[in-house]
Amino acid sequence: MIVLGLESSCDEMAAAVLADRTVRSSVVRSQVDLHAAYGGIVPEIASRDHALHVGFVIEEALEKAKVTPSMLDGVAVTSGPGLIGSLLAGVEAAKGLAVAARKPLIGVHHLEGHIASALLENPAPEPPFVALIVSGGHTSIVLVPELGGPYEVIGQTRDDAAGEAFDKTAKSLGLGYPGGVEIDRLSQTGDPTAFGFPDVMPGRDNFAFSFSGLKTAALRLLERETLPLTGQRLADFCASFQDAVVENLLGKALRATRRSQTGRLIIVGGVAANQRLRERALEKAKGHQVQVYLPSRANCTDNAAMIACAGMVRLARGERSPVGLAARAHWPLQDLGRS
Amino acid sequence: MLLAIETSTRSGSVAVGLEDGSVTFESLASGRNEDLAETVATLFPEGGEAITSYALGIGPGSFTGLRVGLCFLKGYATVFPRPVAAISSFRVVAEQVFEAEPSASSVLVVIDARNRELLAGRYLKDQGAVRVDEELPDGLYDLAALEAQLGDWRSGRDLLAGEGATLLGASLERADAGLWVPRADTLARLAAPELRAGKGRTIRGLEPAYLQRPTAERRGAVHSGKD
Ligand SMILES: Nc1ncnc2c1ncn2[C@@H]1O[C@H](COP(=O)(O)OP(=O)(O)OP(=O)(O)O)[C@@H](O)[C@H]1O
Ligand SMILES: [Mg+2]
Repeated sequence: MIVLGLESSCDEMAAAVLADRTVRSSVVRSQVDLHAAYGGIVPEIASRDHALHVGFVIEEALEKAKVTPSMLDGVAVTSGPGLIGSLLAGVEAAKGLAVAARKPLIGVHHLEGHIASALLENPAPEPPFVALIVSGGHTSIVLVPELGGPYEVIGQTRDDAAGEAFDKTAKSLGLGYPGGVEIDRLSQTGDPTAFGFPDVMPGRDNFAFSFSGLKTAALRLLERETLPLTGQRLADFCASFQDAVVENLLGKALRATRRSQTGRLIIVGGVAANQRLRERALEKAKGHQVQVYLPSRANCTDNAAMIACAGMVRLARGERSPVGLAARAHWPLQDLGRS
Repeated sequence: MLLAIETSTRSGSVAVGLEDGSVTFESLASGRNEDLAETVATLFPEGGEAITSYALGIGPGSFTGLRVGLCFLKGYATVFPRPVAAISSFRVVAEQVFEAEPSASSVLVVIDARNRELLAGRYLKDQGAVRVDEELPDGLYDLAALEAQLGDWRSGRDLLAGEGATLLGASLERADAGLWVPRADTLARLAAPELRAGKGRTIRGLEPAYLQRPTAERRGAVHSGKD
């Protein structure tokens, strides 16, 4: 089965061609430079860039994969949740392509796409498993009985997402956007025990997160420092903050996995690209008798291969979206697989 | 066969132009530009192989509406790459007014751009041919400045069109409001000669005629991308 995937829910326009579970091409146009000056994503700027580049990105993905539209078995596109203007660019282009090539169309939930990113690795985890979804907009622990849902949300953040906490804290440190990557890099030479962060949302049965709490703790600690932090002090602060986030995420996710008795945990979403998180996940998993699956770093941040993968699973089950498919800014993951 | 798409307003439409000059017209439900794909699919049940060119109303107009038409067409053209004529949506409105009002000598099209600004463009009829007025081409105008510029300028029978018409204090005669919405069949008729003359272009690098920078760029405001 050959599926073209499109993703444009936020500030990345991506297209990919998947032949069964082999990624034949994966093109990502990032807008990081366009939004950097604003310290966050400007929706109208994102929409304009998507509308300008969508054709180029699709063509590049098809060319690299040496695939023509007539060879496709379907077109998968992120239809939500996300920024409505951003989503629309991908959804309308996917509809145009599907209608012209007379191929099946399937709308994909962005987070189901992130979950599916784990299936692109070899070995791929067999459901059921637990997914820790950690990205710029979401932080959830989800039980995945099978891809397609229904999914059971075991716990999620009460406020900020983990990626958002990285980005906002990086901003208070005067670092560039997106901050997660910067903190990851600076932490490498830092001492994670230099600064003490509180354990937020503690408790064995508590699977909820609060990263706004950690962000505030970071601000308190910074009040006592001479700003801006530089050199070793900056590295130490980054490493300590990162460690607090990582330990918090992993502690809860591993406990939830143990309780689920699935024995498998996948960690997906942009923050799963974090080096410390990856290392600690593998270390800690041993003690919990849990098998941890991590997508390659490129498949953690937004990409279209994961969307093609999720779409392929649904297409293979005979599912189709109508050509009238509409983008949805809000779309709870819990709504999937329930009719 | 020409496929023409106009989605710059809430009332979008699609038209198919044949070599003999006949045009089929389909309007999209009001506020439902995203029905475009379904409509095109119904117009070409056997697929779009027969399409030889495209016409697109490129704006100014609703940013979202313009992107729906453009992105759909970019996806469609991946399968059927054909030349496209990108035509001002204001030019389309002007054409409609001139067709309905043969005695008109100019048409000023205006839409509200908020914050006391207007998107406007004036078109003149010169010995039977319609052309843009270089003094007032499609662009973003400050309301007061535009009114000053209009002053007591007259070229003959001067008509006003577009939903921004009510904002202008100038005492210009208003064209029938039924003509204010650019239609894909008018667009198809305007585009045909351009395309025949080989003036079509490739669609990939095309952008809507926003004629307005994003608010954040103008004000330095910061939004969060997260909901
Ligand atoms: N190496 C890293 N370490 C920590 N955080 C990272 C790293 N790389 C990326 N991130 C964070 O990941 C986030 C982006 O992830 P992703 O692309 O999945 O998010 P999104 O698509 O914007 O959000 P969502 O998927 O929730 O809609 C950003 O917050 C970024 O800071
Ligand atoms: Mg994402």
